[in-house]
Amino acid sequence: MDLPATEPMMLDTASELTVGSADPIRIATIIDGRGRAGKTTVANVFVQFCRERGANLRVWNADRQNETHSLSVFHPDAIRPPSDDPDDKGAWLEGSFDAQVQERFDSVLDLAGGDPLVRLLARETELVATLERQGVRTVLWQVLGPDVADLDYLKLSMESGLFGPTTLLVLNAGLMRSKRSVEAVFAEVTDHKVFIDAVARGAQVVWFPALACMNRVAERGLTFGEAKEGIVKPGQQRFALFDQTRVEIFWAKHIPAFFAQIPADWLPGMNDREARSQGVIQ
Amino acid sequence: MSDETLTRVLAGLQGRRFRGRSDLYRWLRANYKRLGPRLEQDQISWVVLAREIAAAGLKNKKGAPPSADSVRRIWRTVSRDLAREAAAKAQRRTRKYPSRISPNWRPEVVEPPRPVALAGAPLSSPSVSESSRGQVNEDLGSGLIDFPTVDPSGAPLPEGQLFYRGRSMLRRVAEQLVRIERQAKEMDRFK
Repeated sequence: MDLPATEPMMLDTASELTVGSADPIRIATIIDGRGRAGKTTVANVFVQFCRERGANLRVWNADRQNETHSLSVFHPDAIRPPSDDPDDKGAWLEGSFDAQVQERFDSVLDLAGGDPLVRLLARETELVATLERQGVRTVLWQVLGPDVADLDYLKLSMESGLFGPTTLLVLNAGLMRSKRSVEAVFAEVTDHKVFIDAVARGAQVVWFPALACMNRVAERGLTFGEAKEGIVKPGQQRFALFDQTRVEIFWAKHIPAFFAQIPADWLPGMNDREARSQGVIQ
Repeated sequence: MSDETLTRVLAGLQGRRFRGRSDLYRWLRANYKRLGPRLEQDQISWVVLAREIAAAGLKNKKGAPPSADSVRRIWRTVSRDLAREAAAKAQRRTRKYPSRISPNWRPEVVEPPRPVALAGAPLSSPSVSESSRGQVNEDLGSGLIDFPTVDPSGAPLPEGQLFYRGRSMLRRVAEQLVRIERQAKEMDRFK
């Protein structure tokens, strides 16, 4: 399956707040969704893509249930809550956002499937508006598979106030397991009232591209940059030639096209965004 | 009602219309206009009508002579079906888009922001035109999107709303849906 050429809706919208200001707005990306919807995969791609472009990104891994494909495997600097205790996690999250406001960095938060942690904070503290006032923009990435139950979490986000004007509905084409058409498989989700309401309230919809050998990359604990170069870690089998090519296409073509769909001021500060704003890249 | 008349009517019922329906249904339907006023004014009883029909050899679905009750029941079914068909026909007549749109109306062309490529990503910049004439244009290559701005009854929708996927919605919502459908079709091409 291939990702099409994309049609960005709101590119090149870096505001005066993001570039050229002494204190640019910072981005807190929250990756939410049902378990097995692909949150950690999306988060992993997000971190690798942004960091390759020079983002000053802090990784918060709140998913303590996922050990094998945990974000911490790929990003050892990922910060984790001290325990799974709700109070500990709550205090850790509040402290993390507080640090972001004070120290001015971009962040990404990978939640465990269905974890109410951030929604509780959003409901209690009007998180989106509170952070915005402090110069931190929350961008919610709601990852959706083809199962209509995936929309339950979107609905919860909308009800809790976590859903803001900067919400991305990420349709994960990598979850396709049937030979039916992508459109037909996702039709139940994209026709659903909750989905339509979210788009009407300003959410942007994007397709996350599939990678046939995603599991083989993840199992080896390789970054996409390593996999496309054919790097082999000690004790591992070499990466098959065509898988290597698949990763190369995915990483060099499909993922940049995926990010090109997202409004630039919804993304962490990156070198190419600043360069574009200065007219270096057209 | 003579045997001769009945035979003539039966001969006319040999076609394939109303497949799965009994001869009794088809006969009552064919004679609806003639029998309707007489039944309404009690000029003919269900018992008499059933007897006449049975004598002419007309059978119900099970092949038995129809009873007065079954004639009355099937008459109601015929009445209901004809009423529904008349309503549907009337609705079809009102669905002629754009029945309430000014003949001077012209599409408004909306140019989305110019895309800027990130890391050399292949991008395209479709133009989106607004039109109330008819359905969504399925010509995906052209990038033209024509949405109806009236609902199926022909009533104009509020400003900024259009009709798509069986409901009225904001233009930008419909445009996003069309965009992701288009991308899904592209992905299917490479499956």
